[in-house]
Amino acid sequence: MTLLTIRGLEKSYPGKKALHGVDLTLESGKIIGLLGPNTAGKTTLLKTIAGLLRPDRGEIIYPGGAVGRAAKGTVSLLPDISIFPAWMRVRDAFAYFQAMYPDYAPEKAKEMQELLGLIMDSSIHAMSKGMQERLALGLTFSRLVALYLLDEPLGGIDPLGKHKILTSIVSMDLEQSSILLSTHLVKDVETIFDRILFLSEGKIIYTGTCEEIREQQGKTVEQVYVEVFDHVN
Amino acid sequence: MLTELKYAARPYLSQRVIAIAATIVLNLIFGLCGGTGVYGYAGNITAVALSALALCAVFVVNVIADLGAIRTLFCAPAGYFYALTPQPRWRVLLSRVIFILVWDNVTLYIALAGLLVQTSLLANASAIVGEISNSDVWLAVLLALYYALVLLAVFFAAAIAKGPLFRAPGRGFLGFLVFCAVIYAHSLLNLVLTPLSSASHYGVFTTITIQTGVNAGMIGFLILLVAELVALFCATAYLMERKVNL
Repeated sequence: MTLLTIRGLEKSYPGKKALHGVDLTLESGKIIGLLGPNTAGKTTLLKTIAGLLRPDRGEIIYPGGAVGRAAKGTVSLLPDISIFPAWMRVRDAFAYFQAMYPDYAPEKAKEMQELLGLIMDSSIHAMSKGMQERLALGLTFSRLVALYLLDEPLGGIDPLGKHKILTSIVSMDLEQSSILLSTHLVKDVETIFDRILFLSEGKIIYTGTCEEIREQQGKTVEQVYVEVFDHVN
Repeated sequence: MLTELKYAARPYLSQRVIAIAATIVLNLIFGLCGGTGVYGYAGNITAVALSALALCAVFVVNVIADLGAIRTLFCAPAGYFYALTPQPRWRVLLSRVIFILVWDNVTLYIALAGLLVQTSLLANASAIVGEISNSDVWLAVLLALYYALVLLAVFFAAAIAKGPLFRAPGRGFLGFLVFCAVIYAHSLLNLVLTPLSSASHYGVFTTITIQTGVNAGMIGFLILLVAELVALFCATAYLMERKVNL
């Protein structure tokens, strides 16, 4: 089932064009890797889908045809920066999320808290970067939406933290939803992807399923990544 | 919405508590000196100067506290919560506007309330026979115009800033500046008009107080407070529907 359709998406910042006519269709039930080097436009694409940025051209058709603010109820974004005030405890962050997002699911949140090993009375300012990332992911997944957008969820995380995060991603029930995960740490996450998109200078330059890559081409995603981007550069 | 406001207010609360405490102290200075210098015995320049200084300090304290509030609500990280929520835009906007404008006014209302109590007490104690002079009437008109002006300012600020202000955090710097300018224009007007409005209350409300035996100053203050809040709600509701693009 098609979740999201993007047609001719363009976005510019002063002096720089970040997205050059992106066309994309995402189906439900998939974990999709959005891969590309720094400045490829990954964050811009995710923020535009999440409604944080307004596209200059093109259109995004959201799950269920939602428009306006209702469209924000179909996506849950994990931003690439910490969005929690340092004074909050984990408990406060979940309570705040519950107040701000009508699609917050308490049972799902509880499940994530246990899976990610979050301690509710921990103070955020005393938490390591890895624990903060786990908290952010737990909150992102505590909403019941059609599309989860994860922007670099593994940057600067230790191996145990990565394992916990990847486990929680894989544990998601994706029957009616999908995850779009951006990263340049291909090797760490390639095993969880169903499909990959390579983004370079605001354009999607390659798309394929991981099955095709592994079985037909006999390569890893990282090998294809190196080949494609080496060719581009 | 209460939970949103509770969490949004948290980092701002300590600043505001300090601001309120400072305002109460400054208001005492302002009230005592101003009462002596302006309302009681005109001509005491030192008292008037101290009074003005205290009121300026109230303004500075408010500016510091307000900057904290604006940063809390509009800048990353907290701004993300507002930018990403699918809640109806009227709720998002309302919580921001209410938060800023109501909290912005808290200390100034304390100052105003102190003045009104003081003028009522002064009037009763000195048994001044109230007569509504022309200047009192003009000051009352000025007060009404002031409240209208506040509403217009909010209106225009939101209209001008409708695009950039309410978009993602980190963007819309112009809108952010416009909103800040309006907030401080509002505070500045309060600063200038509080003595005038209290003088107006002094004349009009004192007359009513003496003639009816009811503390009209306090009642008038409460009516004005409620009126401003109701008007702000209405203006915000209009903006959400017509002007503001969230």
